Amino acid sequence: MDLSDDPDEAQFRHDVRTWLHNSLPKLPWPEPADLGAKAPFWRQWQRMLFDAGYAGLTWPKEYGGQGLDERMRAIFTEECDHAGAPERLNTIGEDFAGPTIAHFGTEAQKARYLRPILTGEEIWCQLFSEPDSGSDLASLRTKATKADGGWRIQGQKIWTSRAQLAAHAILLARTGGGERHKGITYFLLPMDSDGVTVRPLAHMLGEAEFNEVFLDEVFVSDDAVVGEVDGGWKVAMATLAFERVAIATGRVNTTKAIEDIIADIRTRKSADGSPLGADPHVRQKVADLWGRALVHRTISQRVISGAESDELPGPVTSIGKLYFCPLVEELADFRLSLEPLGGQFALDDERAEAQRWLRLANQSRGTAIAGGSTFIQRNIVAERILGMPRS
Amino acid sequence: MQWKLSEEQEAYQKTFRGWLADVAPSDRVRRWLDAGDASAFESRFIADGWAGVGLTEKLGGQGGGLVELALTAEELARAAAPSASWLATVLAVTALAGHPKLVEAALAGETVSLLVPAEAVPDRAPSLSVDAEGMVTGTAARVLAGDIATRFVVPVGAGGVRELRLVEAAAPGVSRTARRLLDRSRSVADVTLHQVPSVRLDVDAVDVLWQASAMAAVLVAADSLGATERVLDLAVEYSKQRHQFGFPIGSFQAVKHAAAAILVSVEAARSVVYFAAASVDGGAPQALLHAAAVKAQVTADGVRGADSALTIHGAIGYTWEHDLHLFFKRAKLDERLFGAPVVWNERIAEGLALI
Ligand SMILES: Cc1cc2nc3c(=O)[nH]c(=O)nc-3n(C[C@H](O)[C@H](O)[C@H](O)COP(=O)(O)OP(=O)(O)OC[C@H]3O[C@@H](n4cnc5c(N)ncnc54)[C@H](O)[C@@H]3O)c2cc1C
Repeated sequence: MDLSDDPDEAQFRHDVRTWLHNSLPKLPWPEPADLGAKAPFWRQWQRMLFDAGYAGLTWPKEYGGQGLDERMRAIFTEECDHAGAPERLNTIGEDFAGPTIAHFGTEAQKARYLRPILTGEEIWCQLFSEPDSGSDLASLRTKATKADGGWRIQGQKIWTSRAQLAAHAILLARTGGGERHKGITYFLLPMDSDGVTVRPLAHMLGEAEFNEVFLDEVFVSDDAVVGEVDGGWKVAMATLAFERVAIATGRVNTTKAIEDIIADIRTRKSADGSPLGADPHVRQKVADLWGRALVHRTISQRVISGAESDELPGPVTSIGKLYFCPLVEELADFRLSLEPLGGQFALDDERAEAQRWLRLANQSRGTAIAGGSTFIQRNIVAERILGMPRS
Repeated sequence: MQWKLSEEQEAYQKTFRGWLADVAPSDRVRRWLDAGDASAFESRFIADGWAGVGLTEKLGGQGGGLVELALTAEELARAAAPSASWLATVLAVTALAGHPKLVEAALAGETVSLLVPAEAVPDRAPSLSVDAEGMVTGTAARVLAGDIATRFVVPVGAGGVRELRLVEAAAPGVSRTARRLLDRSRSVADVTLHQVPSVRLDVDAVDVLWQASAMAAVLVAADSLGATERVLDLAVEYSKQRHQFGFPIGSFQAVKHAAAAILVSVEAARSVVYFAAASVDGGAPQALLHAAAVKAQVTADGVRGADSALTIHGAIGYTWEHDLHLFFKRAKLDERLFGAPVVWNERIAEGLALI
């Protein structure tokens, strides 16, 4: 247990902090809330990161990354959160498609796809889930049929986050080598291919963040396959594990969230005029959430320290996700509870003051479903970590 | 003592539920909500004679009491039907006793609303000020149905000299800004009065506000109960249809347990909501504590049930297209409307004389 930064880490932290301090003011703030308007803002930011050598910290140098280890990435993320850096828009590219391609891709795939993720030129989406295949991903029915020089893909995907912005997708389709997970192949699909139709779906707050994606006789060439034909399940499982690492360790900085809540509480008063922070109920709740944010931070650090760079993340990432999701929900709900009517105002209400927390409260519920729902994660933990009998 | 709805009450519930199924199916409700205009529903509700149910004949209603009102609230929530006008009116209308014309107008669609913030317990809400000429000045943010009310019942003064005054919403000096709630089946507005003429209402202000507080607690809890019944129905129905891994998801124990836990909340709520309604109506010594317990327990369970129903649905429940969010947001607002659980629990603690 060594809790302090070593000299390299301390130097890195210092450099990052200085750079953020000088660079963030160059962005055209405020950051747009709407997804479409956010993209150009984010792109400008991502390009700044890339040019300064802060994109793809853990990725190999030859593909535009920095070849650093996970601890540096954790430091970087922490500093970004503290400085209030823009939201990361290409998490699918950076956190799951990229690492999957780096791990399983051909040299040509790595050379083609990795760098534009880091420069912000190409956003990615994930075409896994289907209307009838959510938790049971291996039952997917989208079909890829062998054609001259490639494959023709037919089917429908759903819940595809940010497909409307994406240049490429990671896609699973059935190639016929066997039942369920035995006959699935992992493809990389350009979203501007003929036969791809994207229809936006609004979530509970009314914003279209995910989509239905229809694939009608879409052609992809042979070099779009990642891993083996019919061997895509293994690759897909790695992608989902990378996804959980990202969710468990960095998607929302819970330490920053509780610090922001504490800062807000310090400026507020109860109805009777006493400081809000003197309210016993508020004190207990803040203390509890602060403690849990600390626990979450240590779980993340453990996941990060344990991640040997060439080993795939294991089922322990499920634990991270199971700890993280309810914590973020409660952080957001508690902060909203400090607003009149619990901040239950529509996103377009002009007098509402806590829309950021409303979005977070909503997103955290989505995150608990996405990437393997809570019940599925518990099954994974029980069966693969505890070795309990399968039902 | 017997815990049981009367035959009339059961018949009322059944008839009103049938009426709502007919008049307010979810596609139509969604159209009203999208348009931000509930008047089509509200005028039908009045024309078909539901507005006076639960209000005494002496006042100008059709008889019955808080149990009937609770049944109405529960059913309105089950349909996610617009109800700000109805709820605001039943809470404020007792202040109009002695003005039969005004009561009649209120029950005919001229919404009357207490000028208190919708997150406050009415009897603890701040008062506005009145001058010697009866001109009222002050602000109440987030007033239930504040955007559509024809009249406001305004608490003024403080302590023993509190009184209620009536203000016309169209009077000069009244300004209001509608807010946009996540739950579009209710509405609130920020209302500011500047030197607005008012009439003194000849009622016991303390008593009326106490009554409104107890009623608000019970009726919002009943609303939460109705919303929770619906999220449970939706979840159970979906869990039978939706297959994963070759089985209906309802066959997985995790899903079953989640649904069973919601049912426990629903039946717990059903037990205590009608009880508290009868307790408040009967003027039981602990009536306010009963109302408080119901508000705190039922609405807190309501949001947990809504979350759990969302979990059971998976991504489909997270969409705008699916109806679940109508009830999810309704339950969320119910938790906060007229006092959050912590506020009502504090009220119980006060009543229990712990120190
Ligand atoms: C905000 C959001 C973003 C998303 N983004 C993407 C994306 O970009 N790309 C993509 O491919 N997908 C995406 N998804 C889809 C996500 O991966 C699926 O929603 C998830 O896998 C669950 O599938 P489902 O929604 O079909 O629910 P279902 O699988 O139908 O599950 C319904 C319920 O049944 C339970 N259940 C199912 N099987 C079992 C079992 N064996 N034991 C116990 N309980 C079980 C589930 O836990 C859940 O409670 C997204 C989802 C959300 C909510």
